[in-house]
Amino acid sequence: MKTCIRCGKPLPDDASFCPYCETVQTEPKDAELPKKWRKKTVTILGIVLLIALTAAIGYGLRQPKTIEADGPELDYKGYHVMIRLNGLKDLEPPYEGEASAEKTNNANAGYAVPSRLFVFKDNDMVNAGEEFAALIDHASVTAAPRDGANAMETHDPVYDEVFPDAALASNVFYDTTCGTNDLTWTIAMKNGDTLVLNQAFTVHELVVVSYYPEDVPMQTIEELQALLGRIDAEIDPAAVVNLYLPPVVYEGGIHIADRTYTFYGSSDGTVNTTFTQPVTVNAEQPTYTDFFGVNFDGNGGTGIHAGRSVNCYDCEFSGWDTALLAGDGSWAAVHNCVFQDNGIGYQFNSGSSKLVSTNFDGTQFLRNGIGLHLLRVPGDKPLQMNGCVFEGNGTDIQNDCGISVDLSEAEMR
Amino acid sequence: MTSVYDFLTAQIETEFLTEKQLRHTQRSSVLLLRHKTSGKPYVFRTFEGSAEVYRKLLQVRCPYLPWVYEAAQQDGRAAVLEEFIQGDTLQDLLTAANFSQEQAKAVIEDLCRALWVLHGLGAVHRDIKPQNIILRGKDAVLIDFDASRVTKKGSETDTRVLGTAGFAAPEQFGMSQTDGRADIYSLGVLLNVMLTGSHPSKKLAAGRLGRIIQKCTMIDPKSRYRSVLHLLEDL
Repeated sequence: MKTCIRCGKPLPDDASFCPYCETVQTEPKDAELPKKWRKKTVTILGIVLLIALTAAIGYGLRQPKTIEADGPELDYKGYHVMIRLNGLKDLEPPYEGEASAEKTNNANAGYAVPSRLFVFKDNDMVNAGEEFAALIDHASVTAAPRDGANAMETHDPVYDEVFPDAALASNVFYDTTCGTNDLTWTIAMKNGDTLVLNQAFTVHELVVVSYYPEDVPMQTIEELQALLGRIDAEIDPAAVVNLYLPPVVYEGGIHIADRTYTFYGSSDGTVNTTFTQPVTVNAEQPTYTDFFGVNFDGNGGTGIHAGRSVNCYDCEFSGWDTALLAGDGSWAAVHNCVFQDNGIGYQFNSGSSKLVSTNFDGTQFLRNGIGLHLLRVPGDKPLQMNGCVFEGNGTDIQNDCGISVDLSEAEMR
Repeated sequence: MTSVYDFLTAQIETEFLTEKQLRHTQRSSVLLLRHKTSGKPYVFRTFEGSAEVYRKLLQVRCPYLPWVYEAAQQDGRAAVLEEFIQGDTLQDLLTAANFSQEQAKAVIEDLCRALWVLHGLGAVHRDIKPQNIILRGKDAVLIDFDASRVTKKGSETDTRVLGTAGFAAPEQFGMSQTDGRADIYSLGVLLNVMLTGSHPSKKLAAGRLGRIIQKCTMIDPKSRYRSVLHLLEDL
C-alpha cells in the first residue's frame, strides 16, 4: 500500500487517483498536439517563401558577376567574346599579339595597332558585335608592361567604322621600348556584370639598316642590283632596309623578295629618282615595300608588279601598259601619286591580301586608257577616292568586280 | 493486497453520489457521479473488456479527450473514473440542423488531434460516432473508449467485432485487423453526416470536403489517409 501524496490516506500501489481528496497521484503529461498548417498560413508562408526565393534568385541573377577570361576569349550568355590585335584572320591560337617596330629618336613617331573586340553568337561565327555592343555600358583598355618596359598607350574603345566587324576598337600605341604589355579589356555590362579579357602584346625592335648613296655605290641600276644582292646575302631578313636613292634614272628594274624595303627617292631639281624598267615585288613572307617619291617611267610593260603589299607615296607612273598591278596576295596602296599616259593606270587583280588600305587619297589619274581598273579587289570595303582627280582617261574607272567606290570627294574632270 | 479495481469500485460507493445513469447495457454501465466532498462531477464507467486503452490515457492530458483519473481491470471487467465533459453530444446537435462546413471542419480537426494522441499510444478508438463526441465550448471532445483496443502486430483480425454499424470501418467487421485508418473511415462518415445528415454512400457532401470524405471512406484502408495528420493537413 501507498499513501496519498496529499491527504496521506492509504491507496493501492497502482492507484492513480485518491478518491478521498480527488488528487491525481502522478500528474499526466500534456499531450503534444499536431498543429495544422492552415491553408491561409501555408499560402502566406508559400507566398513569403516564393517572394524570398524569387528575391534570392533575382538577387543571385542581379548580383554583379565578374567573369575574367584566362586569355583573349570568353563565353558569356550565349556570346563568344574575343579580343584580337590582328583582326578576324587571327582566330587560331596562339593569341599573343606580336608586332615589330623600328627604333626612332622621334618622340612623336610611333606605331599603333587596333585592339578589337569581336563577338559571335553561340560560337557559330555569326557576328553579334552590334547586338552585344548595345549591352555594354562602358569599356576600357589598359596596358600593363612586363619586366620594366614602358607602357603602351591605350584609349577607351569605341565603335570604329573602319572595322565594322568589330563591336569596339581601341588603338594601342607603342614603340620599341614597350616590350611586352598585357592588354586588359574591362567591359562593364549594363546589367552590372564585368567581363575581363587579356592579351599579351609584344613589340620586337626591328633592326634597321640604312644605305645612303654617299656611302654605298647605287648610281646605276647595276650598282643598285648588286647592292640588293649583298643585302639579301648579308642582312638579317627580319631587318628593315632603308635605301636612300640618288636622283638618277635607273635604266632597268629591280626584283624584291622576302624582305621589307623602304625606297626613298630624291630630286636634284631636274632629275628625280626614276625606274624605267619593271619593278617586281614577290615574297613568301608577309613583307611590305614602300616607295617614297620615286618615278616609274616606262615604255610598255608593267611598272610595278606587286605580289606583296606595296605602298606608294608621292610617286609618278607614266608610259606603261599597266603602271601599277596589284596581283594576288597584294594590296597596292597609293597616296598622292600620279598615273599619267598609261594604258592602265592602276589595275587591281588581287584575290586576297593581308594589308587593306582603302584610301587612294590625293592620287591623280590623267590621260590613261583606263585610269583605275578594278578586276578583283580583296574584301568588300568601299574604296575611298578622297581628293583624287580623274582627267582625260579613256575610262576613268572600269569596275569589273563591282566593288563600291566612293567618288564623293573625287574630282572628275 | 486490495486491487485498484476493488478499491475503486468500493470507494465509488462511499465517496461519490450517483447523480445519473447515463447509459446502461448488458455489458456496460456509465454513471454520472458527484464527489461527496467537493461536489465535482465525474463519469464512472464499467464494461466488459479491457481497460488497457484507459490505462494508457492515465499518462496524458489532452483538451480533446476526457481526463482519465483511474482505470482498473479485473476478471474481464473494466472500471474507469474519468472527467465529466460538460456539453452537448454531437448527436444532440445534429438533430437540430446540419453543420456548416467550417463547424464540421472544426469538429473533425479536434477529433484528429484527439486521435493523434490516441493512435500515438498504439490505440484505436473504433467507435467514433456522434454520441461519443461532446462539444465543450468550442472544443470537440472524444469520449467512450470502451470499444477501443490496442493494436497488436501479427493479429490477422480483431478478436471481437465492435463499433457502431454505419460508422465503423469495413475491416472492423472482420476483413482485417483495424488500425488508425479505421478511425479515419469513421471520421469521414462523421464529417459527411455533419454536412448532409446522411451516410456518404447515400449522399456524399459536395466539393472539396466531399473528396476528403471519399478518401477517408475508401474500402481499402491503404487508399485512405495514412494518418490523421494527413487528414488534418488536407482539411
